[in-house]
Amino acid sequence: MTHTPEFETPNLSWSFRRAWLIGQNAFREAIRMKFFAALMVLALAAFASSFVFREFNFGASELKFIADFGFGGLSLFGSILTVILTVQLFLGEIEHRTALTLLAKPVRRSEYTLGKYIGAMIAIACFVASLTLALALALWIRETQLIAESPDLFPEGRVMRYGDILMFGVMHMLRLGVLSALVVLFCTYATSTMFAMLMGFLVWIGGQLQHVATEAWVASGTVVSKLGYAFVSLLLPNFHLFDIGDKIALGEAIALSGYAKAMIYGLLYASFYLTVSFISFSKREL
Amino acid sequence: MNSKRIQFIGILAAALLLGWATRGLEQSASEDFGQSSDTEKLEALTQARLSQGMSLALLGGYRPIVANMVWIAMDGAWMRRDFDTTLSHIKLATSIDPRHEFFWLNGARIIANDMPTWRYSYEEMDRLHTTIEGRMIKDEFAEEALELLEKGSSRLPENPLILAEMGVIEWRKKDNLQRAGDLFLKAWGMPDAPYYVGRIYAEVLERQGRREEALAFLREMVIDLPENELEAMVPVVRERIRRLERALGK
Repeated sequence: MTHTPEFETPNLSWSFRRAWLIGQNAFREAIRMKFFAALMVLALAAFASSFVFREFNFGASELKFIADFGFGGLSLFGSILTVILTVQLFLGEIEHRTALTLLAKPVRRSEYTLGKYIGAMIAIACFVASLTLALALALWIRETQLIAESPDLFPEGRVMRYGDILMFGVMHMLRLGVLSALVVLFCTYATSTMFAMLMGFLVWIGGQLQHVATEAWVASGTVVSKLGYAFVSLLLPNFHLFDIGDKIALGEAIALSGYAKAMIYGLLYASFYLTVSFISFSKREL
Repeated sequence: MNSKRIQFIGILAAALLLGWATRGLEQSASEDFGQSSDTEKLEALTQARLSQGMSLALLGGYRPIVANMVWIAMDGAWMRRDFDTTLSHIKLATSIDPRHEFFWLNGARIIANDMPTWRYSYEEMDRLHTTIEGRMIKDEFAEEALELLEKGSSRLPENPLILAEMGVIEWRKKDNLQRAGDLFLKAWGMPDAPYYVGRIYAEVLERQGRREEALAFLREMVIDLPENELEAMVPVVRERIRRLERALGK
């Protein structure tokens, strides 16, 4: 016996084109949001402020400091943007009841869910790409100036690995892709944007610290604490895995196999959360 | 049990299963990226009671700026001679950003050189050198500084400056010339070791009465020293060689 979800349009074949169209509209909606533009400006301003803050820098060389600052901005503002944007795009229409008009048409709920995810991800990709390119450009200009001022300090030419900086952007997109998929999952359950955002921020923090739970799982002595840490460690995705900024800022080479494994890991998690979201949203009463 | 609960448990079980299935992949990728433990950083964060804003910034990835801000906050505590806050902030700065020697070296210097003097008033400062109690205090803080530098050395195993600083503390604070010599020699053997490390090693050998060894070391050292670099101080090294040769009748 096949199971047809209660709220799905029967006998309608699944179409990626419809999801893509919803995604394009969602993207247009996203870039019209004042919040998106404000966060983009804020992130760029925070990044530009690294040139001021370098005066307060004690530890690192100037280029490493600027790189660290740029990676920090991408990570912090990117995560905030992902949570808020995904919730707004998905739940905004449901709260305003405009989603009903769309879902009354021959559109599957999984297409709607995927479309909203695609829209959010394109907007996030624009954000990450803009900041990554701005960072790479700023580092390139400053490095060129420093080489011209003190060539003795750069006996082997440029020290920054610009390919790896771009790969940081890619890794970061994956991380935000997993976070966005997880937020979509919360949205399929949540009835208020506040709840979905709160859960989104909690899993962001939890996922960022997941590796600590994994370490504690191995190190802890009692069975109860071991079980507790194992539960947290297995339940949450490891967002720290995608933080490769430390190595890049130090100019260290990164194994290509690491990139490949992290990509598979990110895609697996994002696919899982989206699949569960499809099932969950198809059963939701609007 | 209603269907929503069954669905929730099903999702939870599937998420745990996915976590279990991807554990190997996650560990392998983490090893490929050479990621290190953050447990120490979190412990230091808890001890230092960092503000929520700083914790958020740290979580977001603003590691260097948070470490610098912590260092600036430490400076205020240092001026007030506040032991606990100074120490916890030094440990926090080194755990937040362990990649650079600045925090390790200057933190250890504060612990070994400044903190013992905080136990006495300005008028009583001489007691540090003249009484048994004073020497014990010096020793206690020297141990604390060495412990910090040990951690730094494990984080930056190729850094000669940290080993050299350990050597200075062993020599000046603990009067352990043997151990100091071993540390200077180890630091001198590292790539990018500053020239002064070699000169100090020879000095430590001489102070132990090992003049022959000091002379042999300096003779070997001077061969590779660049004449045109001021830091290499070639004339000073040559003068020391001559002085030792005279003293040894060679």
